[in-house]
Amino acid sequence: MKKVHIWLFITKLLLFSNWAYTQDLVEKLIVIDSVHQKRDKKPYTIRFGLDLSKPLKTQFENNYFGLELVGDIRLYKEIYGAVELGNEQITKQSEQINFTTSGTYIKIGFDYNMYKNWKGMNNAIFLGMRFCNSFHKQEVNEYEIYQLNHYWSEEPISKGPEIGERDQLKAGWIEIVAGMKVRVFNNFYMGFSLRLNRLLSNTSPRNFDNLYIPGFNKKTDENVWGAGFNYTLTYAIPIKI
Amino acid sequence: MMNLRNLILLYFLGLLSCEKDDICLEGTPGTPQMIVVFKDYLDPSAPKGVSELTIKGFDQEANYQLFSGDSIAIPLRNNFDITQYKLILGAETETPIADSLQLNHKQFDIFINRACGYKSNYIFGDPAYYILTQGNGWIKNIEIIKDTLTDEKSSHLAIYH
Repeated sequence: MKKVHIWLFITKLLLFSNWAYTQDLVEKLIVIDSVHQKRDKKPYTIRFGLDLSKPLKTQFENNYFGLELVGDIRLYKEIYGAVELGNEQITKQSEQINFTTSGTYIKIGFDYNMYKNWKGMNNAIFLGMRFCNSFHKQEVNEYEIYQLNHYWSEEPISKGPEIGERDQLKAGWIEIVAGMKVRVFNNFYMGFSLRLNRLLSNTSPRNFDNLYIPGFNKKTDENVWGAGFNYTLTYAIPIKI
Repeated sequence: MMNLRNLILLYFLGLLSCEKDDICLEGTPGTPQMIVVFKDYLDPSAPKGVSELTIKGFDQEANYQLFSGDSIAIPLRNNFDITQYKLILGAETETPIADSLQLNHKQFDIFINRACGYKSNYIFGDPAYYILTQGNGWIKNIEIIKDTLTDEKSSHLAIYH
């Protein structure tokens, strides 16, 4: 609007004779502007729910427990604040090591909705970003020694100084999120999102590594990138302001 | 809206099945073996090779190696504090001479990476070894050159004969 005003001001100076016409135009523009604002005013919506994929995986896999609560709130036009709060415990047999990772994580960020909704609807195709932190521990359960010579029989090592827990570990990363949310019935929404993660920092456990980070997923050797997804069911509470 | 829902379902099914594996790169140094050199008893600085030395671990079915030369890498036992080998000279002849050697060691494991896991390093105990056979064998003396096994770049034990 500011630019239009300046432009009109200039035309006003140039075209003294058309003063009345210009005045008329300005009034019209202001009217259009206020109509435009009215249309943009949607109810502020808070959505909350959970990631369905994690309880599902918990059911079908013995060595996994996971729960993730999700929520978002429409802050401004198409910008939503978003948060995910989760807890995971996973026991994995990697190539040589059997280990258990457990901990909680929090992801805070925003989504930008690119989907043009009809009035009153709140579906979304969005791009977003999250700042994430985990607080976790790693436990080595059993491991096999990496040997090139196999003359002596080798048994996995399940006791000794390396077996056991390394606690008070932290990790920080950012996620680029792409996804969608669709209303399925009443105020219930289903959605999925795909995440590309980039690890920024992590405390290394003693004589071990963060092979898995809750919320971040599998961490591979000398690689700061990871990926994840979630599949959410949320309930929306409309708040009219 | 139906289309979107189907898309979500399809996508979710597709995600269930892929995970990348790490591969332990060939040439990654693993658990080091003990490097044994054979030297002359009368002239300790001079290497003196053995010929047709049978090396066999205690309680093992198979021989480790039938060896000729003056330096060999021998694996220590993992998850045990001792490693016992029988060293037999001239096993095929009518008069074999056997010596048995026990090595005492402590093991500590070092994390390499996800794909390779852990490797072991060793420290020789005190005493580092026992010669288990009585009387005269072919081994005259044993010397510990290096009491920690962290790599295979230098020799750890010298056998004088």
